[in-house]
Amino acid sequence: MVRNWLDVYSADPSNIVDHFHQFGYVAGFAKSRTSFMHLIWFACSWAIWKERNDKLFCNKENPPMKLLENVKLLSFWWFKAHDVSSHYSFYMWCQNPFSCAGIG
Amino acid sequence: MDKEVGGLGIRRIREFNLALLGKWCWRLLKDTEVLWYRLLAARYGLVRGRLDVGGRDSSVWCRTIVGIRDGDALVSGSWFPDNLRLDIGNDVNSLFWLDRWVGEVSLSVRFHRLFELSENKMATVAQMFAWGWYEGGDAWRWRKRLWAWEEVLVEECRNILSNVVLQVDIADSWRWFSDPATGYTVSGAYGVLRSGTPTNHLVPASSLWRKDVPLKVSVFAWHLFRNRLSTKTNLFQRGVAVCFWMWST
Repeated sequence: MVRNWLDVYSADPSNIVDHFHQFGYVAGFAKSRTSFMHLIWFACSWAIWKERNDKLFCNKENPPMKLLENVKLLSFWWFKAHDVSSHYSFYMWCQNPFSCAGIG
Repeated sequence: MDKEVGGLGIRRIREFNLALLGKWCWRLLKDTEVLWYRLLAARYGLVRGRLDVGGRDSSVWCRTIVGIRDGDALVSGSWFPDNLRLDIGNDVNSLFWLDRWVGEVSLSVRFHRLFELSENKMATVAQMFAWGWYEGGDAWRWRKRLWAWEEVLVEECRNILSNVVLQVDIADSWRWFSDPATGYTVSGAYGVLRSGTPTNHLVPASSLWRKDVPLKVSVFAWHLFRNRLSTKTNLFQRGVAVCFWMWST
């Protein structure tokens, strides 16, 4: 779903480190693009981890769509916090995160 | 995994890639006369007869090759220089301290202290010999006066060298340690790489610890990459008591 959002495609290596590396390169080999994809990757893994903890310890369960929303929101926050001058809204981030990040 | 042990015979791609790249390193040492080597030498420059990384505008390929050759821990570790031996002849290019030409390790490893103090770190074997490595010879030039225990090291080093006979009419030749007869082969090197403990390729620090990602997330990912998250399986493996209510959910 995340890949759908970003309009990229890749296979999933079974090893977590390989997965991280590969995900970094699916949008291109430029440093800025790799860095951006890694940001998304961190957001994904964090969202999944939080969801897993919620499920296990609080008995709460969210639909997958909610998880995707969380990923978008997290990455948007992190991106905004780092780049305060960015004037893009969350809506635009969801529409086209690459151009918000200035690497479209 | 090999077919013999029930696998599909698919090679480990990382190790195999290194083995193929190692072939380049090998040929860069052996075939220094051919045109493609001279081209690379012109493009990236030579340091003491070895291909140089070529400064800031160097290519990833060149840096990787040189990294493998020099046993750079960030590239692939020291498997390549570890398996390399030099049969010394009259070549001017073999480095006295840094190449493995006498004994099991290079002199810079074996006599690390002396190497630190030496003023001739990049000297070749032929140069050192010409300067004289007998007692009081010109080859031994130090940055400071040696202590008594350092003199003992020099003595030990001289003893090793006293057994060396330079074969003046034979050129130096490189030997691949694990396969001395045929020299470097990709399959041989792949075997060497695979027999070693699998290199746990970690995520470089710069892409893990970022300014824009909260620290707790980086720490979480750090645990994740090392498979050290406190999940049920991991806690159980480490013998940490797991409460019953956790199992029941």
